[in-house]
Amino acid sequence: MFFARFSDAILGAVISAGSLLMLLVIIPISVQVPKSNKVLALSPDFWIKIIVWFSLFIGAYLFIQGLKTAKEELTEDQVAAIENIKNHHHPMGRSVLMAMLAIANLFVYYFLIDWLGMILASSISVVTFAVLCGERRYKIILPIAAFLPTGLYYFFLKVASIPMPLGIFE
Amino acid sequence: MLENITIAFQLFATIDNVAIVFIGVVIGCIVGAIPGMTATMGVALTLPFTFYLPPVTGILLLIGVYKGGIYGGSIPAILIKTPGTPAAACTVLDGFPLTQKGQANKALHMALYSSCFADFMSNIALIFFTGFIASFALKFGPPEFFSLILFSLTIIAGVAGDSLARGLISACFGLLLATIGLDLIYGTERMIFGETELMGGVKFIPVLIGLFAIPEIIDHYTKKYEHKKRFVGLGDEGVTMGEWKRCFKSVFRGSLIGVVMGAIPGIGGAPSAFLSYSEAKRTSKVADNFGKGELEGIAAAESGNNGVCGSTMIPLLALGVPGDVITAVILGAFMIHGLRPGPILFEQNITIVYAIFMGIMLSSVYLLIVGKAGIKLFARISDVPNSFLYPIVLVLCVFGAYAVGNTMFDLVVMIVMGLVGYFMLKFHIPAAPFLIAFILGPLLEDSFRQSLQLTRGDFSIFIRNPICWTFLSMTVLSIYVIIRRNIKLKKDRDLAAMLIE
Repeated sequence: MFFARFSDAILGAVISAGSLLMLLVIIPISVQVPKSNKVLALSPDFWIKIIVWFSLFIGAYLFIQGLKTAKEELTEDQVAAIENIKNHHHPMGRSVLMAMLAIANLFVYYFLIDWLGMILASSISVVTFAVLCGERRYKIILPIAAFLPTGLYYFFLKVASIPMPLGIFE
Repeated sequence: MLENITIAFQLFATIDNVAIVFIGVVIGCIVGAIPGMTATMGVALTLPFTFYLPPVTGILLLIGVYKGGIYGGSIPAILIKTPGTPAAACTVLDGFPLTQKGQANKALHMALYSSCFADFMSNIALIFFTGFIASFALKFGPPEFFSLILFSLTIIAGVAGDSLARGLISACFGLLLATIGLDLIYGTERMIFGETELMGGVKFIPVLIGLFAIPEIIDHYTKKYEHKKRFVGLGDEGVTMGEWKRCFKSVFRGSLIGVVMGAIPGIGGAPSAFLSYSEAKRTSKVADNFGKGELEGIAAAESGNNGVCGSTMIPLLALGVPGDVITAVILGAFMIHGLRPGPILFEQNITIVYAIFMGIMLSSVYLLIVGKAGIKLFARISDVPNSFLYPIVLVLCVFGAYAVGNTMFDLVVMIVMGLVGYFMLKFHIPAAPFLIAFILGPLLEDSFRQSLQLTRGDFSIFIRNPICWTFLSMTVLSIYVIIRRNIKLKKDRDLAAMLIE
């Protein structure tokens, strides 16, 4: 409920802080502006600054609006949306844990490609992701894990002439 | 002209092209039939497979997926009350009640015939109007393009969903990401932090896949595992000639609504379907049956959403600006194949344009054939559990993102964009404005700076002629209408809350 009530304000604060960080730190250190430039509007950082100023403005607007609406009662639509999420999602703690696991799995998949190559890493990831989803029908999962990456590997290699990494099997 | 058409026909009439449109429509129908897979996701996942294809073949594959996907979305909408694509949301209203009455087959056939008719009408509009608009756009220089693209960015309001502020934040993210790379005028570094892979800018496909597919996959893990068999059966009844005749007026009207609304950037299939539906209900003799399983309701909704398919390509091909998020992806595909849609494409590659028109016409025929032959198969597909689907989608994402440049760096971009997309999903920030801004951003900046280079920084170039004036006025007018609509919506909500109290 807290998150639903304050989501606008939190988002506005994050966007405003990010925009300020861009303006004060990131743009000055990462955008090279040649000294020969005489026209402000042609400077490499001009366009970027316009975008960031605009996002700062929107962030501030959202923050102020968010603080105002947080005091109001939730509308029927908002309550229904929260109920819908509750019905179809795991409880908050488990949801966060599962999302973190899925993200960690993405990185594991990435490092496995480097080590074991595209086919084997993909096969392992298909099984891992399906099992993590709660799927236990291995008679369907295992053939998908075996044939899909192999088929895609040969498609890209033979038809598109794009070699995929094979890791230690190279 | 006849010579160009002959060359275009030779360019188009190859076994590869004829087959690829068919394959595209089949893939599109399958993707559309799977709840949770949108036509946008389908086009995004197919895009990497077009790299090795000639431009016309690659573009036709994507157009086939697009058209099939929009029709396919009606299948789960009718059978399991879950629209496969947002555009099919209106089809649920009468489609599912017909399934409950045991007339799913009839509903699916009406959806198919209406979709094909509307798609055909939309293609005709595309062919007739695109060349005319493009010939007008040949007069455009950098300032005219700047004002046009600025106006096109107002389509973000149309795809922003409930909150315009969130849509604008999303667009800012997209515009900002598009500035990464070497500066076009001075060649200096912009936000690349010493990473040589970023010198050419962030690649489109890893961003696209990361933004549209990865967040859905991550989010799926936060959901409870549930799989109940929802598909009950189709029934035997088809659509009779009498029923088709009775619904034809709504189909025709819906097609026209779709064509007009599709040609206006930012509106898309869902509003068009709802407008067509409400018009059909308003004028129908059996208005009371709408919402309870009325065949005319399906006809109106489906002709409304499929009517936009061809006409959304009008601004894309004629002016080089996308009409919605799928045409934004197709614009990216054109660029990947070294083509820039717009008047220059008509001037320099008219045969390619004609060949694409031929393929688009063929796609309507294929839609009818594939749809009719595959109804039973697509109906079964709509019941595929997501626990199998998402691991498959993930593998397609990884292969597709890697294939862009044969580098692991693109996978990093895809994963990072996936995390950004997940953050956006959790905070209800729509992804479509991000993508549209990411594609239009460089075009906008280039035309802005080219214009100022011409005048050494004099901004008066942006109001130099009536074309600039017209587009700038339209931009101001659009912003005014959008703000006014938002204020009115807020007032309505406040009033409703007061009345409840």
